[in-house]
Amino acid sequence: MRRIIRGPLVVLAVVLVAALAATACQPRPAQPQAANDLLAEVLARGVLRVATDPNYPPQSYLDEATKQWTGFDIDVAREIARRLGVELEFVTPDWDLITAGNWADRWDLSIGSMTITPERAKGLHFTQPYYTTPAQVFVHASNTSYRSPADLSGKRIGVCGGCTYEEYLTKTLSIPGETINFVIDGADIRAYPTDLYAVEDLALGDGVRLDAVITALPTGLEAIEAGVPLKPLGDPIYFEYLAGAVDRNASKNPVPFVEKVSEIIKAMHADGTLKRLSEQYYGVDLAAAAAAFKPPPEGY
Amino acid sequence: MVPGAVRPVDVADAAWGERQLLVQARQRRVRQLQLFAVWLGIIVLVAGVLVRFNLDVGFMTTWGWFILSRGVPTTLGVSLASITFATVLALIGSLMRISRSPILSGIASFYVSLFRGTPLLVQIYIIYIGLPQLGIVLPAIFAGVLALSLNYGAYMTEIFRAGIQSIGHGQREAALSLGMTPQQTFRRIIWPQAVRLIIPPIGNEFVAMLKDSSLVSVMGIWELTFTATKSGRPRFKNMEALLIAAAAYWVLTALFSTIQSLIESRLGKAHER
Amino acid sequence: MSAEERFAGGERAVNGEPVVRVRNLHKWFGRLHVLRGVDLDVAEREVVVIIGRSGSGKSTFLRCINFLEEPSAGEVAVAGISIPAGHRGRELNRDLLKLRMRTGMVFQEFNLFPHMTVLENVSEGPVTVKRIPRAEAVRMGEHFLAKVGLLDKRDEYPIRLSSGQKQRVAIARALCMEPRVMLFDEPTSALDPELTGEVLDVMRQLARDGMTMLVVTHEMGFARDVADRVIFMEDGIFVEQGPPDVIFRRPQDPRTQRFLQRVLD
Ligand SMILES: Nc1ncnc2c1ncn2[C@@H]1O[C@H](COP(=O)(O)OP(=O)(O)OP(=O)(O)O)[C@@H](O)[C@H]1O
Ligand SMILES: [Mg+2]
Repeated sequence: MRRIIRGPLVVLAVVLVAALAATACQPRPAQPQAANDLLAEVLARGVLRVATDPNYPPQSYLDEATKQWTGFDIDVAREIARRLGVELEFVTPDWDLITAGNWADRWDLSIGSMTITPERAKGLHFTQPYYTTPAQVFVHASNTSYRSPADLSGKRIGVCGGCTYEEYLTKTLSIPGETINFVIDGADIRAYPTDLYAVEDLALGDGVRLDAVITALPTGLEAIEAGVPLKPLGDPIYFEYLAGAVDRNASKNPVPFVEKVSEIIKAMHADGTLKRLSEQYYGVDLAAAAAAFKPPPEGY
Repeated sequence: MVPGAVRPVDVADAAWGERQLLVQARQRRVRQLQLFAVWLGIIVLVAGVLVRFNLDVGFMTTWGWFILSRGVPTTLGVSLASITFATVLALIGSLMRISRSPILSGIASFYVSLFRGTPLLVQIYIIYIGLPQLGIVLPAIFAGVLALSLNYGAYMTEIFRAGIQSIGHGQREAALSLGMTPQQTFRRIIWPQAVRLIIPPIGNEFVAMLKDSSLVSVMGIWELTFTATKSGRPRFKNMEALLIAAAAYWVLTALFSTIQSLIESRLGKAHER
Repeated sequence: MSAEERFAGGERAVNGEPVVRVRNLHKWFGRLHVLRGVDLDVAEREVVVIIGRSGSGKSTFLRCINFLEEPSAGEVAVAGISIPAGHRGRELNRDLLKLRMRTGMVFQEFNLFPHMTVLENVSEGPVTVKRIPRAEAVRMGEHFLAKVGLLDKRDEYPIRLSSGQKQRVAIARALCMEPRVMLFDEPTSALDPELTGEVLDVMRQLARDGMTMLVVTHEMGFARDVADRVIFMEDGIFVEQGPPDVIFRRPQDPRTQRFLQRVLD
C-alpha cells in the first residue's frame, strides 16, 4: 500500500493548505469604510445585533402564539434600536459566551438582564442599568422547617454556575453601591448550567435533590405561576443591577456606543418607559433603583 | 439400502427439500412477527410510563410543530454538510496517514490524535471563540460544521485507513503487474473495494453525528435540541419538549439506517454467491 | 495485427534477441540472501519451467522480473526495456510501467478483482493502462475469455467461479494486455486437484500458440511435456538447466538428483 500514494497526495496536501489559507483570508463581512467606532458602524449598517438568551420568561422567551421574541429584555432592546434609528436583529449564543466577552464582532450589544459585576467588567463595558433584580431564596412549597435564608447554612442550594448567586454563596460577590450581608454559611453549592434546571430539581420534592435555590425573584414567581411547587423564603438577599453590555475587545472603539446606549436608557428611565415595561412584565416597578445608579468614577 | 427403493426415496427427498424450504420461509416470517411483537410491546410499555409522567399534551401540540420545523432542517443540514466534509477529510487524512512521506503521515496522525483526544464540545468552543483571535471570524453555523467535520473526519480517517489497508496485497500486485500506476491502482482497484467496507461505518458515524450536532446549539444555532430546550425550559415543560426532540432524532436515525442498508445491499452485489 | 497473431505473442523478435534477459540478479531480504547472482535469457516462443524446493527463491525471482520485488543488484530486461536495480528516476519509472505492460503475471492466489465482473476484470488493463476504447477492450476481453473457455461467464462476479475458472480468468486478464512474456507463479498450487487439469490445458494451448512463458511449478508432468528448458533452482542460484529429457532422465548435479528423486516417486 505504501508506495501507491504519492503524487496525488502532494496535490491533496497543497489543496488542503490552500483551502485553509483561503478560509483565513476570506474577506470579513463588508464594512462601511467610514466606520471607525462601533456606534458609527452600527448606524452605518442600519442594524443593531443584540445577543439574548431566550430561556427566561418574562425577560426573553418565544411567544406561545406567534413563536416570536417577547419579554422585557426584548422590548427594551427594541426601544433602544428604535431610538438609535436602526433595525434590530437577535442572536442566541450560550450565556457563557456572552458573559465571557471577546465576541469577535459577532454581535454588538447584550440586552440579557446581565448583572453588573467587577469580574464581568474586565471583559465588558456596562451601560447604565435598566432595572434591578432582587435575588431571592426559594424553597419547596411543602417545606416548613426553614424560616429565613440564614437557616440554609450547610444545605444543598442550587444556583446557575458562574452567576452572582454562586458568588453570593462563596461570599465573593461584590456589587458596586450595595453592602451585602452573607447570611448563609458553608452552603453545599450545586451549580447548574441555568437556574431553571435548579428550579426543576427543587420541584422534585423538598430535599430530594436540593433544599433551596437562589434565583431572580421574577423568575421564581413566574415558575410558581406556572405551577411549580416553590415558595419564596424571606426577603430578597440583595439586589442586582442589570445593564446592557458591550465587548471591550470589539475591533471598533466601543466607548461612544456604550455612552450612546446609556444615554438612551437614561432617557427611557426619565420618560417612564422602563417603569411602564417593568410593570407590564413584572407587575412591579423594578426600574426606579437602576435610574439612580451611579457608576464608579473609573466607569464601566 | 434396499435395491428398488432408490427411486421412491429420491423422489421423496426432493419433496422433502421443497418442504424444508417452505418451513424455513415460514420460520423467517414467524421470527419477523415475533420481533415486531416485541417492539410493539416495548413501545406500549414506554407509552404507559410516559402517560404516568403527566405530560402536557397542550404544550406538545402548540410547540411540537415549531420545534420540528425549525429544528429538523437545521440538524439535518448541519449533519449532512459535516458528514460530507468529514468524508473528504477522512479520505485525505487516510491517504496521508499511509503515505510514505513522514511529513504527510505525521501531520495526519497528529490530526487524528488531537481531534480524537479532545471533546467535541471543547473543539466547538475553541473554533468559535479561539479562531477569532487569529482574525478568522466564522459565523456560528460554519464554526459548527467545521468542528463537527474536523472531529468526525479524525475518527473516519482511521476507519478509512483500516478499510484501505484491509484490501489484500495481492490486489495491488495484480494491478501493478498489469502496468497500472500506483494512482490507477488506488482509484480503480483498492478504493472501490475499500468503499464497500467503509460505507457501513460511515452510516454509523452519520447516525452518531445527527445526535452530536446538538452540541452546536451552544453557539445559538437553532437545531433540534436548541428549539426544544428554548421552547420547553421557559415554561417548565422540558420533558415534553425533549421527548419531541428525541422522537425526531429517533425517526431520523431510523430513516438513515434504512437508507444505509439499501446502499450496502447494492454494494454487496459482487459478493453474493 | 489480428487477434490470433496477438495471442501468439505479438511481433517476432528482431535478430533473435531474447524476450527476457536477466543479468547477475541479487536479492537480499535484510540479511537473507535469497537470489545470489542469477542469469537468464528466454528466447521468443520459449517455455522455461523453474523447479526447486520451497524457499529456494523461485517466486522471488519471478517477482523481480516485473519489479513487484525490487532487485538488490543486477539488471532485468523484457522486450528490449532494460532496467538496472537501484534507485530510479522519473524516466526509468516510465520504463518500469512499460516493462510491466509487456509482462503478464499469473499468481498462485488468482488475485481477481472481486468488485468487477469477469469481463471487467479482463478488459480493465487495456482500458485503464493502454487507454483502449472500451468497446474495443470488450471485444479483446471476449476473445481471450473464449480462448480460456469462459465466455459464458463474462457477466459473473469472481466469487461465483470455481478456483479453476478463476485461474483461467486470471490468465485471460494477463493475456488481454498482449504481453511479450507470461510469468506463472505456481498457477495450480491453490487449486483443487481435479481442477488443475483445466488450467494446465489452457497453458499447454498457450505454449502451442507460441507464447513465451516462464513457469514456476511443481507439476513435473507439465514440465516434461511442455517445457523447452527446465531449470532447477536451489538456494538462490540456478544449479542446473537443460531440456526436460536431460534434466529428468540424466541430471548431473547431486542436488538435482536428490530433489527429483523426492518429487518423482
Ligand atoms: N518479503 C519477504 N521478506 C523477507 N523474506 C522473504 C520475503 N519473501 C520471501 N522471503 C524469503 O525468501 C526466501 C525465498 O522465498 P520464495 O518465496 O522466493 O521461495 P519459493 O522458491 O517461491 O518457495 P515456494 O515454493 O514455497 O513458493 C524464503 O526463505 C522466504 O522466506
Ligand atoms: Mg513461491
